[in-house]
Amino acid sequence: MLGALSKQITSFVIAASSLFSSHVTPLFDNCSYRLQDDVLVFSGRIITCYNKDIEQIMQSGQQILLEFTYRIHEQGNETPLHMNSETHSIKYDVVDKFYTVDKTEEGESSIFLDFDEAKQHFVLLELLDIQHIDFFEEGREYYFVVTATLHPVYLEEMEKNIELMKYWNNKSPTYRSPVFSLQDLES
Amino acid sequence: MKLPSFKLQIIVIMFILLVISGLFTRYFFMTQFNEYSKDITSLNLYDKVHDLYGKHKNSIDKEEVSPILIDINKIELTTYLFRKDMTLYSTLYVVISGLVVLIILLIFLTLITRPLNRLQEDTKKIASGDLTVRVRESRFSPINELIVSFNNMVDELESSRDKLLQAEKDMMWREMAQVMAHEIKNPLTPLRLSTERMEMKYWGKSENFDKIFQDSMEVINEEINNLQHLVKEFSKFARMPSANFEEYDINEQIRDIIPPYRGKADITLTLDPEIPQFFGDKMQMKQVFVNLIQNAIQAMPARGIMEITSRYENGMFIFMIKDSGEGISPEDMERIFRPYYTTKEKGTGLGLSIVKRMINQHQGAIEVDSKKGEGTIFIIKINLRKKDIEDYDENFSN
Repeated sequence: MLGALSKQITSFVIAASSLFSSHVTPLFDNCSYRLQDDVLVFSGRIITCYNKDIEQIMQSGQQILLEFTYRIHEQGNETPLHMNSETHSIKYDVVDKFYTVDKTEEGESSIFLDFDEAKQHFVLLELLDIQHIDFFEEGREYYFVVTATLHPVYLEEMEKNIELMKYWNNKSPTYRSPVFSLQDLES
Repeated sequence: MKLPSFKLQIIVIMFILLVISGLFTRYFFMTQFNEYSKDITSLNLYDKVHDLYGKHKNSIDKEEVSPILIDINKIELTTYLFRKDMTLYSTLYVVISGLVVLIILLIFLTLITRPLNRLQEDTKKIASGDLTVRVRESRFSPINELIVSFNNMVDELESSRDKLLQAEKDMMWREMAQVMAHEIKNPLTPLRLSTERMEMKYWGKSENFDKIFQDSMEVINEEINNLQHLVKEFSKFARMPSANFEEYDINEQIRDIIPPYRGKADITLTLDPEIPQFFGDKMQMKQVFVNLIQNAIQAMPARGIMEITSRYENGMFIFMIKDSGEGISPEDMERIFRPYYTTKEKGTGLGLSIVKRMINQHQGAIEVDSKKGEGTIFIIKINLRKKDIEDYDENFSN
């Protein structure tokens, strides 16, 4: 009885501490932007975005969608001048045991046998087209904001929705570029 | 070691019991669920189906197997997530219900202990003689009925005390009137006899009228003096001034009082040199010592031995006046502090009564111990402190 109680106290303490630690705080890392073939492109990745629950869902064969939304603002104006989004998806093939990562900005699928590689690729943004140079006007200052959101996973037949954003504390990671002008981009 | 308060003890015990019961409840449900979860996992459905597909790859279509494997994974996933949610929610349940019960317990105990504390404090005040105190009622407290009953009891007690005081006052005045009538009646007889004798001798043209006149006038004057003395002492007793308290060296006061009496008795002083400053009325305390010393001397017609001591113990001043006189009989001991009671031929019976009243004004007590033929000892105990004086004034005026 005493053993059961001490075991229970230990698990209670672990559970109580997990109340505050089961969530992760995803962040944009290694971000950069530049002009490439007259197009403003952005590269970056999200770090500290996985926990055991997300990985478990990924490995169950459910498709997971990660939407990157980017908005271009003129300095001093909160209303975006332009807005678009791209979506990454990852799905585990439960029969042949591999991962397929799709990225709408690339328009092609990548196959991974290794889970860690698939995870890294899933959250990676490479040369995302933000906007053509013609969009930007001389003498005006701009900045752009990129945010990432996980879509909920719907378990068909079970009629159960898993809100993945709760593992991110319902906070989307956000990257805000420094203010730039057309001249800055061209230099 | 001082124990924590009743309230704290109850809270700690109840909280420990609550946590233990919460943990056991959680343990029971979690164990059941873990068993169920383990049963599902131990079926290894995914591996079995996958192996089966591997063996019959050519005959089974992948598109048919895939949904089955996904569904198996869904079951394991939802079981895993449900178990996690259960762990989280059961922990939250224990924490929140623990806090809620703790708050309820705190409110409930406050409703009990706060009135109890007030009851305890007010009981102390009542015990010290202040019957005007009433415990404040708490309508929501479970012990409010007790408070109401207690207040009713104090009402009754106050009413009874007032009646008793009134009865005592009446009895005292009747007794005093009786004594006064008796004291006034005593000199009236010799006065009447003297005047009758003078009248008779005057009308009878007696030869020794001058002598008789002189003798009679001596008697009349003496009795008038006695009556004047009686009236003066009575007025003094009735008009005892209120005390004027101050701090002073009481040993020095005792030493100053003694010299005039050294010729009438062998007086030994044993005064504690470490005694602190005494707080009291200098004039009244002088009167107390003088009265007791005079009484002791009168009790020792043949030059006797008198011992006067002072000491300070546990915050209390203790004075003793001991004589080697005849002592007081047990039946007189009960009455010596009553006004107008005296065993002396020419005493007014007010001396010890005044002493007792003065000691009372100092919130002290006077005791007497005596054995016939061995002597008498008066013991005065006073622990009046400067900060008590306000309470004292209030109580005394009451």
